Amino acid sequence: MQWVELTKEAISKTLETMFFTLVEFNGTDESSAYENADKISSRIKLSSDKTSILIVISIAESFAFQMAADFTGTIVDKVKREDAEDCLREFANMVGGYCVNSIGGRYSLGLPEIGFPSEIGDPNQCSSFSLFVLGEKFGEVAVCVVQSK
Amino acid sequence: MSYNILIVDDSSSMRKVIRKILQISGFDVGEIFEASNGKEALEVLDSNWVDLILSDIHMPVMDGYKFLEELKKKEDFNHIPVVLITTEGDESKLQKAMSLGAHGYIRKPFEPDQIREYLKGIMGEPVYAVGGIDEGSDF
Repeated sequence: MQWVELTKEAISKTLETMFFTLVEFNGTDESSAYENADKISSRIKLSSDKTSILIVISIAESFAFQMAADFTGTIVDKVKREDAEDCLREFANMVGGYCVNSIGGRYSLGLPEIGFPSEIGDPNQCSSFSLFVLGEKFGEVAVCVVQSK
Repeated sequence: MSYNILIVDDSSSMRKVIRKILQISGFDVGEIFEASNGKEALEVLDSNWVDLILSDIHMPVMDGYKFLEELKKKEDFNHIPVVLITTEGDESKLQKAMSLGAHGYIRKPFEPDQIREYLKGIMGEPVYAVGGIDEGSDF
């Protein structure tokens, strides 16, 4: 699926460039640390006349705090929840922007938001994948393609 | 010449990142101001001398396009170079921003060197070696 591969590329490029993190998309984290962790979700919508793409990124809260620290060049103890949310909002913004740029700007970029959407449409139109760093799962991403009515 | 710089971005994290890049870039940077949208930026400009503006496009309240339009109307400010740091990918929209007076743009995600290289064209060569000063760093 084109959008999933493009989103992976966007996430990989953004995490490497701005967060100094090498992400992997395949892994077998046997621990249930991610599933049990509190999470922070951010989302962004890309829209064209015919299609909307919703990208939802959920990150384990502790990792989101670390991302915010790495991003802004501070120590994790100084990061507040609102900093981590702001950071994930900007992360979603850059991921969405990278996707739009890669396909030649045929989609317009919405404003990024925090929180898992109450409705993400038909599950059949969504694909998801996990995010790993050094074999440890730290996040999940859902990419939903919705045809405009 | 010491440059007073205004960073306009709705993300406080991104403002911090750009501030740090400026602080360690080696340029002669004076005061750094911040605003979270175009409206706030105009308020900052009303009461402070600014030599360069680094602005996002997609912001709530007043976006980068409207901000450029408002700047263009104000004689006191329309000479200030505005560099857009943005996720905007639509060339026609970026051209619109250029026609509204933007100096140029840098796309997010970016390498710090991209900002440094771009700003050389406006601020000249850095006055000290890169990484030589890191005031206010938490490291």
